[in-house]
Amino acid sequence: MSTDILEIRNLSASYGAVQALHGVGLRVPQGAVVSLIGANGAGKTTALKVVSGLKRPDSGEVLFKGLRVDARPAHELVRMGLVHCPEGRGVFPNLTVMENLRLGAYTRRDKAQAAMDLDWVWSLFPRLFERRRQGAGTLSGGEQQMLAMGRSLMARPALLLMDEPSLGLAPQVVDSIFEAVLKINRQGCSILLVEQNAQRALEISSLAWVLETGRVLLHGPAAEISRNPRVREAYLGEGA
Amino acid sequence: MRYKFPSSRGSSPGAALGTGMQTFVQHLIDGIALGSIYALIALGYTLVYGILRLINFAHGDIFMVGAFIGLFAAQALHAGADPTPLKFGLVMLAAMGGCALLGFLVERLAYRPLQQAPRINLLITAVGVSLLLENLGQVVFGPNPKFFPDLLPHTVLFSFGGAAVSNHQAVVLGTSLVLMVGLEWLVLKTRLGLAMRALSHSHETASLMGIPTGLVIAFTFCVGSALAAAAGILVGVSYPRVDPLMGILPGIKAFVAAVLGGIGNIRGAVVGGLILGLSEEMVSGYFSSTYRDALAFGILIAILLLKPEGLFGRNEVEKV
Repeated sequence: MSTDILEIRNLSASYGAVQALHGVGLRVPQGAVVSLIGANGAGKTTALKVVSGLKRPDSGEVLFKGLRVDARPAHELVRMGLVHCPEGRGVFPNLTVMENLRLGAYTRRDKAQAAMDLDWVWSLFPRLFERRRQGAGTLSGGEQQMLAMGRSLMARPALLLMDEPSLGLAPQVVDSIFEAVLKINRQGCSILLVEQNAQRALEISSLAWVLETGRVLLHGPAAEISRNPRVREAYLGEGA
Repeated sequence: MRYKFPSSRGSSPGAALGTGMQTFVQHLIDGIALGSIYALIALGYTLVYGILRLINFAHGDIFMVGAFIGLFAAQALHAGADPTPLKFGLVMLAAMGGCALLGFLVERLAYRPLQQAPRINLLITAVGVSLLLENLGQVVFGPNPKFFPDLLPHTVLFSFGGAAVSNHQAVVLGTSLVLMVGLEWLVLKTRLGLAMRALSHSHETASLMGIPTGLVIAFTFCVGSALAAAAGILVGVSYPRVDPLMGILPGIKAFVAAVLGGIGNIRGAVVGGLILGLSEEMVSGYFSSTYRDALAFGILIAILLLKPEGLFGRNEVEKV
């Protein structure tokens, strides 16, 4: 009996002739924050896209809550509670903040519960409330990231996939984003976090996987990974 | 062979009686009526473009099929011999429903299989669908123009000075207005409309919201095609002939109207249609109808040179 909300087995995926993932395995225990780190082009985003149904794998399995989901389209997975918060400015700039959040709740019929979740999003990101009637394209980078996260929460995720939430943001903004990630996790939401800011990601994770050119290089408890000399050299900015 | 709208039913008292102001007002009324028909067709181009970034060249031919479905429905209901407003409504519904289905099929059979293909393949396929419908129309309906029964016997509703508003023009304006307001409501106020606007930015992100993107695309084709069908009936009401190539020129002109307003922009399509209708009417009224078609293409060239994003369009940079 497994207590993993997500399990990936032997996953391979490619873009045309270029193979991006070579037999990658990974698991996210129920209620955990797990980080997936690696250099640019290591296959992190591809792995997330396969999990969320945006991309079909060549082979391998994705199990969500113990069910095979690798042949399901993305919109069905959202309904099941697997929500992908896309990289960087993945908001709809042509829509208002409020409309973006309503889209996050697109699959939901429980209006009362959704209204409570909206209140929670406002309390998590008060700045979004101030700007709720503004076009999302007029928000700053940090606010857009908050909106993308708030929008994902409106779908009531059981598992949240986060792609590079701190990308291109100022250090104070990064602090508040990571703080929000922890708050979301404390509400019982499991999180798979893809980050280039490996240090910050490892600080808040229990487990970590390191990808290199589409293969798992290392994996284990986050504290162990952050002590690993190869990781320190390659991803934590310590010169040899 | 190119189809032109022939002279409209009934007489145009303004043109016969007055000069100066009366003539101008009459041209204004005629131009708005023509323009709202262009606007209805232009909306279909703009809706589909907004979601698929595809110029659906078959759209004018769907307009033609709408007129023919209306013709057959009218014959089945004996609407020509015994016209009633109810029959007009039924003919309208039959044409809109039939074309919604046609739009659905065209998307499913011709465009959906090319979802992952380069955009140019989609464009060429659209030209192919257009030729298919035109030629199939000539085989099925026969190449000769057919008389479109008079669904609403011509009367002059009211006249002022020398200018007159016929019941045909009132129906054209009223129907267009209702459909445009309905579309605005659909796009801005409903959940489906929100999903359509999400798709117009990014299909991938929209699917991450749990939106079934394929269904929304199919629905968009249905709506656009139903609007074209309504335009087909309104043309049938105003001008008595329909033929399988009747969609070509109005289709291209409505495309010009959509580009003029800023393709992808709903209000732009309406304004573009009205501007085109009015200027065509003024040119044929004050200069010569010979220049009418040249005007539309002159406008297209002028926009492409001076303001390629159109009047209301955003200057979008193509993302790679």
